[in-house]
Amino acid sequence: MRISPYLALVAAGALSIPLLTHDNYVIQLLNIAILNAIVVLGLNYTTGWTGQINFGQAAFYGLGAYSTALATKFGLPWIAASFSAILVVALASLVLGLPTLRLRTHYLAMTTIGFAEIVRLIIVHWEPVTGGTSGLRDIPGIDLLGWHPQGQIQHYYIMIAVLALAVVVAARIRHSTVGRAMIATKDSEIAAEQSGVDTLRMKLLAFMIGAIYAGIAGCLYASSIRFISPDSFSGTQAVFLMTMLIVGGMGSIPGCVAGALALTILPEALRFLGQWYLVLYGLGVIGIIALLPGGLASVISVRKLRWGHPQ
Amino acid sequence: MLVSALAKRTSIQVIALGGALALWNTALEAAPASCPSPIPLGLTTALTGNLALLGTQARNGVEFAVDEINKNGGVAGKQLALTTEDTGASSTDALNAMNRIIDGKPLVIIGSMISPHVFAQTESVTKSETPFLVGATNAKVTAQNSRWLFRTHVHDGQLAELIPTYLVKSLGKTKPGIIAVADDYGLGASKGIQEALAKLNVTPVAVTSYAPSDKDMSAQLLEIKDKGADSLILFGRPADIALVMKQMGDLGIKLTTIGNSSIVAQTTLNNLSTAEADGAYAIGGMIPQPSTDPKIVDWSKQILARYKVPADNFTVAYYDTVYLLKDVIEKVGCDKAAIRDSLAATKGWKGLFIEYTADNAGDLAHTLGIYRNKGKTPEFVGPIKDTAD
Repeated sequence: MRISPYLALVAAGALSIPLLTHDNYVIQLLNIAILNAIVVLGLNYTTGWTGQINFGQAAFYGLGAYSTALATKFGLPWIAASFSAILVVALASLVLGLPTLRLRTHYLAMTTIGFAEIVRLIIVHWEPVTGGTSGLRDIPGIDLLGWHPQGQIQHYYIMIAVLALAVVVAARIRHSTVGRAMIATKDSEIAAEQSGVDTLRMKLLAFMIGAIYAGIAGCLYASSIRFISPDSFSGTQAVFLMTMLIVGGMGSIPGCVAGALALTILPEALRFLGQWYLVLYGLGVIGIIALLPGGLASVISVRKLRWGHPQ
Repeated sequence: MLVSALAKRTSIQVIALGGALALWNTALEAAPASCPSPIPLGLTTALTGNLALLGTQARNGVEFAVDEINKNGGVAGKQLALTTEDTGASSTDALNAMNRIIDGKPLVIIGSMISPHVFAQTESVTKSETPFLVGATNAKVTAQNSRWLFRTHVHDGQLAELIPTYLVKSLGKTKPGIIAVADDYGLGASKGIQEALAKLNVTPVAVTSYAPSDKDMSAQLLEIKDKGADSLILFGRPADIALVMKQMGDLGIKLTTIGNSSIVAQTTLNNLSTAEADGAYAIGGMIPQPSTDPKIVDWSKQILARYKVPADNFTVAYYDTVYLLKDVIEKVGCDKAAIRDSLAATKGWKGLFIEYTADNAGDLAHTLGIYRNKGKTPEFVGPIKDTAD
C-alpha cells in the first residue's frame, strides 16, 4: 500500500502539534474537533455515501457518551464499558433503522429528529440514572490496560489514533464492494436494486456503521471531558454536525475531517471579535457553501490536480 | 577599653540589625500579596444562544461594577482588567471558553448562572487553583468538593424549601399544582418543591412540566385546574413564565400563583397585561424594581440606560460579587489562596440588598426576597432567610 506524501505530511503535522504548543486550551479544542471529525465521518456513511438525511447522529453521540459514563460509574472496566457502549449504540441504530430506512427523503429526516428528541427526553427526565439536565460528573477516565492518560496531550494522541483508524476503515469501506453499493444507493435506489444491490441492507449498514462511529466518539468524549450533559448532544448539535459535513464536502473523507476541524476551531479563532464572532462565522459558512458547493474537499481536490495528482 | 567599646557597639548594631530584620519579616508576613497592574479578572457567561438573555445579566452586573470601580481609582490603586468569554448554549463550548480564560491566568474567575456550564468548568478551574465565583442556581453546584468554588446567588434548594413553606404556612394553600420548565433549572426545583411539600404533609394535585421551547402549556394548565388545585407553583424562565401566565388568563384559570423570580422579572411583566400579572407571588434573589432607595433607583436607571435591559436578581448578585472581590483583594492582596480563604471566611458582608455569609459549602447568599405583583408592578413583601443562615 503506497502512502500519499500529502497524507504523510498531514500525519506528521498532526503528531507534532503537541510539540509546538503545550497550551491546554488549544489541545482541548483540537480534541473536541477530532471527536467531531469522528462523528462526521460516521454521518458521511449515511448522508454522504448513502444519501439518507440523518439528524440522529448527535443522539447516537450522546447515547455512546451516556452508556460509557454509566457503565464506568457502575464499576465496569473502561474497555468493557466502551464495548458495551458501542453495542448499545449499534442495537439502537438497528432498532431505529430497520423500520425507518424504508422511508425516503424528508420522512427519514423527521424520524431521526424524533429519535433524537426521544433520547433527549429520556436523558432529561430519567434523572436518577442520567443526572437529568444537570448531567453526570466525575466520570472515570480512560483506562487502557492500567494506563490512565493524564492531561490533554496524552488524550490528544489517543484521539488522533482513533481518528486515523476511523479514516482508514472509512477509506477501505469506500473502495470496497460495500462502499460502491452505498454510492450506487445514493445515486439511484432503483438502478442500484436493478443491479442487484440490496439497498435497504446497504442503508441499514451505513446507518449502523455511522452510529458506531458516533458511539465511539461519545465514549471518548465522556471519558476525556469527564462531564456530560444533554445540551452537548442536542438538536442544535445535530444540525452543527450536518453543517460540518456539508462545509467539508459530502462523501469526501478528507472533507469530513476538514469540515469538523474548521467549524470547531473557527468560532474559537474568531472570539477576538467579541459578540460579532458568530456573525462572521455564519457568513463564513454561507460563503463556503455558496462559493464551494463541493465543500472544502473540492479545494483539496483542485490542489491535488494542480500538483499533478489527479484523483 | 577600646576593644570593649567596639564590642559593645557591634553588639548594639547586631541587635539593631536583628530587630530591623524581625520587623521587616513581620511586615512582609502581614503585607498583602502585591497585585499586578492591571488586575486580571475572567468571566465566562452565555452571550449568544437561547441562554443569552440570562447570561447578559451576569455580564452587565460584572462589567458595570468593574467600570465603576476603575473610574473610582481601582482596587488598591490598580485597575481591574476584565476578560469576558461567551459560553454559548452548550457545556462543551463553556469548557472551551473556560480553558481560554484560564490561559490568560486571571486572579479570579467569575462563572455564569447556567449550572451545567459550571459543572463542566469546575474541574478545570479547580486544577488551575483560581477562586471561582458563580451564580449557578442548581443546589448541587457547591457540592462538588471544590475549595475554590463560591456562589453569590441563592439556589434552587433554598427556593424549593421556601416557596412551599410560604404557600402553605402564610398563604394557607394546601392543594397546589406544579408546572416547571423541563431543564436543569425547573426540574431540579420541581423535585425539591415536591419533597418540601411532603414534609408539610401536602401532596400536589398535579405535577407537570414543559420543554424550554414549548409555546403551548394549556394542556398542563387544564390538567392542574381539572384536578382541583387551589394554587399554582410556577418555575421557569421569564419568556415561558409570561406564556404560562398569559395562557392562564386566556383559559380563565384564576389560581394563587407563586414561583421563582421570573414571575416579577421586568421582561416577563412587559409581556403581560395588568390582569394577567396581578397578584402573583415570587420568591428569589433580590430585584431592584420595587426599591425606593434613591441609590438603588439611580443604579437601576444607569444599568437600563447603558444596557437597554432592566437589571434583575442576577445583575444584582454579579454586581455584588465584584465589590466583594474588591474588598477581599484590598484586605488580603492578590494571592489566590488568600483570596479563597478570605471568601470562605466571609461574614455579614453587605451588598446592594443583602448580607453575604459563607457557609461550609461555599454558598454566600442566604436571604431571599418575597415579591407580589400589584398590577404590573412588583412589590416587596419582605425578606425570607434559609435555615443555613
